[in-house]
Amino acid sequence: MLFNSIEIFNFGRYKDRNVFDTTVDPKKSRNVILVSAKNDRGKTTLFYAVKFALHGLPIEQVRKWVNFQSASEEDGEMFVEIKFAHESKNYTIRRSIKFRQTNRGEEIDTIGKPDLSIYENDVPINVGDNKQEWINHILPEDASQFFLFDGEEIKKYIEKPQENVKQAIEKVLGIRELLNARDDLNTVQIENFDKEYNKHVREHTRDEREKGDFEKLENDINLGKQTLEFHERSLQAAIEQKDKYRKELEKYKEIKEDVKQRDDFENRLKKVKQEKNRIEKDLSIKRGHLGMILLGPLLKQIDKTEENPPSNEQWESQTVQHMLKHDFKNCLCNRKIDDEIIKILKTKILNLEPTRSSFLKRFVEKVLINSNPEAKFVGLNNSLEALGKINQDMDNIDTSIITLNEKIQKNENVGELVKEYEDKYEEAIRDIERYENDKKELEEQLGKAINQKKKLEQKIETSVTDKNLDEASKRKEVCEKIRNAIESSISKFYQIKKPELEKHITSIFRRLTNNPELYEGLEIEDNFEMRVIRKDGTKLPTYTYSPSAGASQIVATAMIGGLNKFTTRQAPVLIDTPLGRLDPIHRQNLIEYYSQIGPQVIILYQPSELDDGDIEIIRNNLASEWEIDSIPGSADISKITRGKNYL
Amino acid sequence: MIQRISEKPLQLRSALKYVYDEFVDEKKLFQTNYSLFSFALVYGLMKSKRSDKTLNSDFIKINTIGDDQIKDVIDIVYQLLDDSDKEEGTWQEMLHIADGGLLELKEIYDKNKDFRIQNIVSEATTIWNDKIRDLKNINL
Repeated sequence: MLFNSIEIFNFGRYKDRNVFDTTVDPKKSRNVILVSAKNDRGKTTLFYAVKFALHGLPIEQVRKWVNFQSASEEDGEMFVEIKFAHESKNYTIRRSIKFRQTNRGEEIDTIGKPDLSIYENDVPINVGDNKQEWINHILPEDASQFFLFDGEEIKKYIEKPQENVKQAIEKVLGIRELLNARDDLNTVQIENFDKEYNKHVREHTRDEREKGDFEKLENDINLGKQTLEFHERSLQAAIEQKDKYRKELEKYKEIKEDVKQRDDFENRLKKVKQEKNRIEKDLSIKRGHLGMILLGPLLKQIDKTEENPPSNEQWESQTVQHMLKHDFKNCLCNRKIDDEIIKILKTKILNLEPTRSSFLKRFVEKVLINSNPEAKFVGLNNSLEALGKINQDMDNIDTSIITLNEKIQKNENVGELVKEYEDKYEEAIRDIERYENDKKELEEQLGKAINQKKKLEQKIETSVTDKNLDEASKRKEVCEKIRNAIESSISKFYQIKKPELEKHITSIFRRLTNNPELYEGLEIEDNFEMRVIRKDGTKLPTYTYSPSAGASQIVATAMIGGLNKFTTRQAPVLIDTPLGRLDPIHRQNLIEYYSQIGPQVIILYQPSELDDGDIEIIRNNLASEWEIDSIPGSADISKITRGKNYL
Repeated sequence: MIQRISEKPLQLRSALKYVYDEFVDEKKLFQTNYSLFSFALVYGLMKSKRSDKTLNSDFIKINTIGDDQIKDVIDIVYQLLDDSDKEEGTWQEMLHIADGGLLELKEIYDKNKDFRIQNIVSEATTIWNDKIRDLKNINL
């Protein structure tokens, strides 16, 4: 089945005629149509229009889908028409309803029930009153949820997995009728055959003790069944509680992670502040060297100046004075100091007096050696740079903390709430365990009582001769056998089909997950709870197996995709709001998967869900792009227009 | 014999106590008043700054300063300014130069929340080259 076009007339936000050309070319892999629409523009309306055309909607809902503006103007008609190709033939289905003019604000006055017309190449086909069955033959309503699915509704597979997984599997396996038959037989047996049989036993048993035992067992069994029913209800309630708190914890898991991250930042900020204090203290010491640092260039210049007289002459004078004073025999050059030499030496003696400039120069020489102003400047500069960097770090951390606080919405009780929900979640788990144990015990006791009653029945039957009792016994027995056979068939059928179903779901899951090396696949347990199996054999609940954003959504999508494949139908896939909050790898995997889920895929998305990068992933698969938007001057009315055509 | 002025019990004084309070006590940018004084003194000398305000606040006597390098700075500046042992006069002049330097440093800090030390140090070589001839006791 491939849609060629969808025409919407006075349905929802679509006043008058809107035609959506859904032509694709699967042979060229151009099988995806993108439809973009902001919130409340008519995206979901389009989704429900297709559902209405294919399988109808309850009449109360149909009235709500009539375009109120058209209805306020005059009598008219609302319809959705789908032209499609199936098994090399072209068909048209048109579902319509007439309405009377209705003032705004009032419930729209529709006329009769919706009318369904089916054409083959524009010629009405003759199927009598079985038109809906004709459509169901191509795409059964039960299976349609795996072709027309709302991304938001995927959540239900995460929130109440067991109930929804169970129903979905039962629908897809087609065992609903068998289940109905089993339930009907159960009712017939209990309400009619058992009652009739028990009545005859009571009437014809001569042994008072056996009669008493029989009645007691009857009462015990009835009471046991009631108690079991009560426990079953309590168990369901506990499961619902557990799911409720798990959902709350999921919600708070995000906040909890944000809280943890914020706490980490705050700890880091403390350490950074301590480091800053240390650097500032260090800087306050190093700033004390600034006088010397600034003098540095001047001191270097002073150091280069020469004393007056030059320092070598001063040195010679001092050395000569020292030699003469201490009566050196030899000069420094080892020459013997005689009178001649003494005369020469004495000419070297200068009348030295310490001048201020010489004092300053020598003082500067000593200071440069001891202080090293250049090195001090380097040290100071390094500390200033470290301070600058740490201030930047602090700003960044502060910004992160502010952002996280805004996200957490200043909920100071998050930690306490999480604790409270965790406690309640644990309590629900304990209750479930307790109810399951009690239920098991009750079932065993009930089983014993039923067996005892059966034995007693057999004993009574052999000792009592009564035609009515015999017939009642036979009817009861036949009913039980049929019911058991159906039960066994359902179970057997499920056991045979389950591995195949798991294989489909696993294959899609491993394709979508952001860590396929880690996971073996998905498994459906006997109680319809799904588990993720890791390579090391560990089995984890689907809602906690991964911290990645959207991990649960991936499991639910794999579930739906697997069931889609299991139906072995080829029908268009229409996805409303496909992408929730997903990490980048899940996101890319999901986009790529959607383009290959079927021969025709129509994705209805909000502009914020898919950016240019996302669209680029599937650009080579696009057949066309469309946009739904309000018409100018009328915020309540939408129009669908083609953006691009790739065919 | 030429004595070091830093060995003398000369009073370190200023007209700008509020600036010392801000930079040393409040903001803790400097460990001591005298370390700030040495920076302001050299800066004031380098930039030819001088304040005429009355020196009305006393800090410590410079011979009690515990940091030899600060004392060295004071001694060097004194030698650059004095060539005839007018000790008290030169010392007073140094105090006014320090206050002049400190006023400008406060302006820089108020504007930038920073002393712009890298800028000051980078221009020091050029300034000293021009100023060296005006300084005393340098045998050029």
